[in-house]
Amino acid sequence: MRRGYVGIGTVVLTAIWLTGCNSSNFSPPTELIAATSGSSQSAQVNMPFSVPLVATVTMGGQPVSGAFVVFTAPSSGASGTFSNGTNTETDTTGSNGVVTSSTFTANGTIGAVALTASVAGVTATTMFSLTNTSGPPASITATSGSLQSATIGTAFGAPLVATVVDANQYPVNGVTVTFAAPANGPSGVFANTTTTDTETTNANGVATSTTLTANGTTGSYSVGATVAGVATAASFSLSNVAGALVSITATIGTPQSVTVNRPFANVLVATVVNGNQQPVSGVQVTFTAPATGASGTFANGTTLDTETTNASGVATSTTFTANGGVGTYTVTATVPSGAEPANFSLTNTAINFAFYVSGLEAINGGSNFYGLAGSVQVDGNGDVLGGEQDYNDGIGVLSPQPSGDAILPETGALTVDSSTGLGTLVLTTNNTSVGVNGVETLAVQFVNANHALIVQFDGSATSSGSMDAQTLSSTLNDGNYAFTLSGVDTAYLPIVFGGVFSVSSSGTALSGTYDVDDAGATVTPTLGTSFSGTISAPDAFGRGTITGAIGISLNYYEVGPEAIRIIDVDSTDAGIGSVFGQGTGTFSNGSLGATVFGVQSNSLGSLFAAAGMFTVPTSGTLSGVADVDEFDNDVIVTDAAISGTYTVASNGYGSLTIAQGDLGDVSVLGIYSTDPNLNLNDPNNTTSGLGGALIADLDGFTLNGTGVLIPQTDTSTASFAGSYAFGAQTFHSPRGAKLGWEFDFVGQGAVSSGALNNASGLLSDPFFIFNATGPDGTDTAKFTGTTTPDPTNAGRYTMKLGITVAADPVNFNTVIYQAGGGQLFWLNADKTDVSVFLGVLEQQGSLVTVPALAKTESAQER
Amino acid sequence: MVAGAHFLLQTSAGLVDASLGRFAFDGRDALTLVAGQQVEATGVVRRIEGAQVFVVRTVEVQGKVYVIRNEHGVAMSPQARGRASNKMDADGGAL
Repeated sequence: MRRGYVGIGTVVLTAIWLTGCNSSNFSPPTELIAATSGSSQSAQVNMPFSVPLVATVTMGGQPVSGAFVVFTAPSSGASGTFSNGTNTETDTTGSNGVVTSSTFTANGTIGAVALTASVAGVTATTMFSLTNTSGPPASITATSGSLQSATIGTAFGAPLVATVVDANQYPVNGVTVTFAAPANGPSGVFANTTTTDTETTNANGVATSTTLTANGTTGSYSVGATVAGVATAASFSLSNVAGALVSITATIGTPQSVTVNRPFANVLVATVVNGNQQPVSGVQVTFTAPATGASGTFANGTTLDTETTNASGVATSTTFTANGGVGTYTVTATVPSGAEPANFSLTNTAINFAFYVSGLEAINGGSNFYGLAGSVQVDGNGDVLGGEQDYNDGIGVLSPQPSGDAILPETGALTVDSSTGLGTLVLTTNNTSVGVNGVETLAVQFVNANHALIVQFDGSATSSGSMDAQTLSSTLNDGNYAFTLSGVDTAYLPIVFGGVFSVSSSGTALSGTYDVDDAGATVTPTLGTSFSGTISAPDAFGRGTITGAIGISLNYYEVGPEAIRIIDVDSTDAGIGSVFGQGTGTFSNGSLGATVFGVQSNSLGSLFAAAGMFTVPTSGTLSGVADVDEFDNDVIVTDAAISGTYTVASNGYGSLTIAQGDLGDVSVLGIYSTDPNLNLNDPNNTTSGLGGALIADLDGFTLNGTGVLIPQTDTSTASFAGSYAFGAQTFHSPRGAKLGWEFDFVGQGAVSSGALNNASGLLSDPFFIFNATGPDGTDTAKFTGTTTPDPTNAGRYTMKLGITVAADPVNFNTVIYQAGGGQLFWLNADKTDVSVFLGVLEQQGSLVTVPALAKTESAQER
Repeated sequence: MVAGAHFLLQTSAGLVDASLGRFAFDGRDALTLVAGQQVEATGVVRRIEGAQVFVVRTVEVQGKVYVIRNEHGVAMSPQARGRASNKMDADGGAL
């Protein structure tokens, strides 16, 4: 119906024609239709489009009301229906010329939908462009890439392809698909080197993974492909197969050796390549060490370690630590393909300790001087593998020379408490004159894995000394050295030596200068005597001889390049001491600064001990405080202000004089400077307690001894805390039925707030100075005391040390001098005591690699 | 008090504290004393801790001379006495 339009239009057209047109250009206006809104929409199939289709009809720029507009959608393919259920409907424009369709609903076909709107009777049309889209993902399927195989460590030939469709099986575009391979076992990695990969579907609903590379484990497995909203993943069945062309080689870490119980310097590194010698990444390499015997463990504490090769085909093991067994063995590195294993040749070497003690012998007609030095080799389980030693008591009972005593293999053992470092070392020798029919027992208190304080602990003697890990070499180093030696002369009277010398001719010759204080010879010490001698090469235990020097025959045992123990092996005299390197520098008075010192007679000397500390107000002078207990001279001076002078020559040879009367009879000391980078009490410790000098007391017939000067670096009480190992050699009035005046002890305990509480140790008392000492002359002991800092001398403390053997507590008034937090001297010196001791407290380090960490505290109790 | 053995020596000057050291009664040529026995001792008197002490070097008992300390005052251990005795025998001389 166009009635309304005709009536009105006639009037208008007439007016226009009369006023604005001529007969030649007049053309009646036509109706136009344009899409106003609703185009460019999308809707999921079978779902309504969100807005209706709107068109506007105009004629001559004016809206046409009442015009009939026909909306027509495709009759097939992607299309839809209006509310009348068909693909077309007719609507009428309003007064504004606008016509609006009913809701248009997409049919079930995805794709572009071209709708037209036309005015009835007019050719003009307009177009609406709509799109029927797919629905949400309804399923995902593995389209291709499944059922592939790849050689381990190589890429699969085809990517994994998954297709996502909606409920109508229409592909879903633009959704994320996640491909996930197994995290363990047979699997593979995508281009991102992980086991997962995310990709987006294309217009076909297809997602394609990056390249998947098989890992090093053979076997079948599934890779899943998932998409959000779909419960069931697509699954790709894949298989890693062995590749005969993959090979593995040991690249780093073979051969190498390490001392038992210690980590190897290099981790084990294997490289995996394919047949083209190209590195293969992602291959699992399994390092396997022997399950028994000489072997070791990886960081996981087991003999197995599995690592994956990196992009360079390299697999690197965790740290490998030797066990206690000694020997060479093979650690293999294998790959799942079964390629020939890579072999790492590793060796666990035994640990050698040099030991030396001196004291008082209780057998062989003693009390005699007692000196013992040797080397013992143990495995990481503490089993003794062999060794050598020299023993001398100065009365003609000594180890045969030149062989010395053999320490027999497999009959002795080092047994140490893992928490305290306290234990025993039993040595079976071929010399029945030592120990108990040739079996010696030493109490050992480890300070760290390389150093222990030791005492004889079998009733045959009592003595104190040190045991230190050896670094063996085939010759002694040329260079400069300092030494002291203390013992008895041919008249069985005390004698001490001190001096400096140079080793030359590739470790075979020495020459130098020495002092000697010989109570059996001259009235005053003989100073500055030149000497020379010949050195033999050390044997496999670091043992050698020094002949022609200082008038006695010496054997030596290497501790390391700058530490050597020496023992007099003459049948008519005896002595024991140490040699330390002097480093490469020269010395002067400036070599001495703030210093702590300790000096003590030997057990057959005029018994005394002294300790103190001093500063150097001006070069060549000293001022400080010290204590001395001259047991035999009955001179006891405590908390004494001391002053004096000293000189040190460029070769480290010097002397120190304490003003007469300041420190009893202690006045003249020889100084023999040592390497400032050397710890004299712990020669393997290269980080603390460094520097100083050997000293010899040279006060004539009634007083001589040996000791050390140590730089004083830290006097704070806060530093004197932690776990300490300690020991001391004690001279005491004889109390037992057998004449003997010495007991020795080692132990360990914590110092906290200045208190040493219930420290425990082992005490050697073959002369039964303690009432309750066990019948074999040895026992356990408890140590308790509280330090009191000297208010006027920082670094000096006093302490009443209680030593309890069974129920037999005895107090010892003690003074402590602190060189640093790691190293202190303690001296028993008191007018009410009938004893004197000198010893050390050394802060404990790690005990992890100490051999034979097997004995428990309870097992050690007697 | 000097460590080791002591005995009280009655002299014309009164009682004297005599120090014999650690070794006098032990080992070879050990000293034997009986209370009331007449002895002859040589040595030096030292003042130690405020008291007079006779530091004995030799003791002669019934004609036998026991060397307690050597000529330098060093206490003679049994081994030292033995060495000294052996040396004296070898030298054919007296101490």
